[in-house]
Amino acid sequence: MLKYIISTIILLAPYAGSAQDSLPVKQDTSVVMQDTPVVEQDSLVVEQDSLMVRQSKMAITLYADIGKLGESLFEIQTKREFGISILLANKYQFVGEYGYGSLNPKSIINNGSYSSEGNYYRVGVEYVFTVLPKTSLSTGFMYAHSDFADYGNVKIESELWDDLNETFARPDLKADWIEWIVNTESPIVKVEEGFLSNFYWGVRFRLRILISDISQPDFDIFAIPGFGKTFSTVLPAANLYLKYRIDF
Amino acid sequence: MKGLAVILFIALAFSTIGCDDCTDCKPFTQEPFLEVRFLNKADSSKRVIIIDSVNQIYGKDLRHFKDTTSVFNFPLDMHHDTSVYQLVYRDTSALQTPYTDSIIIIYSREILRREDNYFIVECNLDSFLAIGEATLICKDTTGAECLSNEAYAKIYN
Repeated sequence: MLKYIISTIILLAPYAGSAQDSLPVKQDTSVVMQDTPVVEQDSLVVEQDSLMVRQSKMAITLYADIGKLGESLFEIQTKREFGISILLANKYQFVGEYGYGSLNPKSIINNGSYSSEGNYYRVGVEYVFTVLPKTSLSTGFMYAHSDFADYGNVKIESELWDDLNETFARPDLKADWIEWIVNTESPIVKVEEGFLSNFYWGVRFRLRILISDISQPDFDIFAIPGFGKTFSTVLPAANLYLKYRIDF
Repeated sequence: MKGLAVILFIALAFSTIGCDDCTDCKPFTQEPFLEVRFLNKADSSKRVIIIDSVNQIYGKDLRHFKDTTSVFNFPLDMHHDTSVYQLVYRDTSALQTPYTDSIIIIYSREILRREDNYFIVECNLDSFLAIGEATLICKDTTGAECLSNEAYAKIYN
């Protein structure tokens, strides 16, 4: 008999709880002041839900280097760089980047001209630290490779003989380097939901270390698309990215 | 606007005057050359020379050719390993008497990039031949090996 009573209490317990939620109006109105904190509790629950969305375990981010696009617009250099990153377990981010660069550094040959043009890619992995719910800091390493060509011209005038007009063109050049990267990411607009909430901006600081031998018999290679000027084999750089992030 | 035009005119005038004065024009900093000094045979004192022609090119057309009246820089041919100079010149003390000398210089060439990002042709002298009274001097030691711009030839007459 006791067994049946206990079973009945257990079965009815949830209904008893819901019955408390739908208490008579009279009782509700008598505890108006008590109701308000309940509503606040509800809104806290909503915020917790949105936090859960922000800190999703997986995300795919598509991005473009807006600094390089800006340089192209003002015809300083022609550069384009795009990337994709996949965030897993909210900690490990796999990154792939592809770019094109046409570099015309003016100061390389003062009595002539030099240009370097080609494509490059980078792949790497980062470890992500969540600083604030939608702001993160990450660090990692990337491997990069560039296939490019360079062209140059040197002119030395002579009054007595024909001017020296030496040109060179090397179409099949390759270079490899590794990068240590530190990346920041935060939302552009602080809205919780909607299309705009997926837009982020980020700055990536890089320390590029050239690992391939790029020495040439006559003229050196002076600029590598994706790496930059080769006056040093260790080169710092920074990129500004516009990102679109899709959380799962 | 008028003021700007005047300033531009003055700047242009000064730059033109500057270029006419060959002490300000230094083409040989990029171009390899052989320095030739004209000296008197008796006491090795400097002779004041007028170059009539080098390889049939009228001397006065060679604007950057002359540093002083007794020392001349002869540009080397940057396309070949040999330069031949056929000189016709006169001493200002005896303008009616033209002298002729031929200098043949053999060297090896290399294009180098200087620290200021100018490319130059550097030449190493191999041998020097003169038809006349010329002698190759390098760092005051006859026949020593040196870069072309360190060497100089003395022509005695």
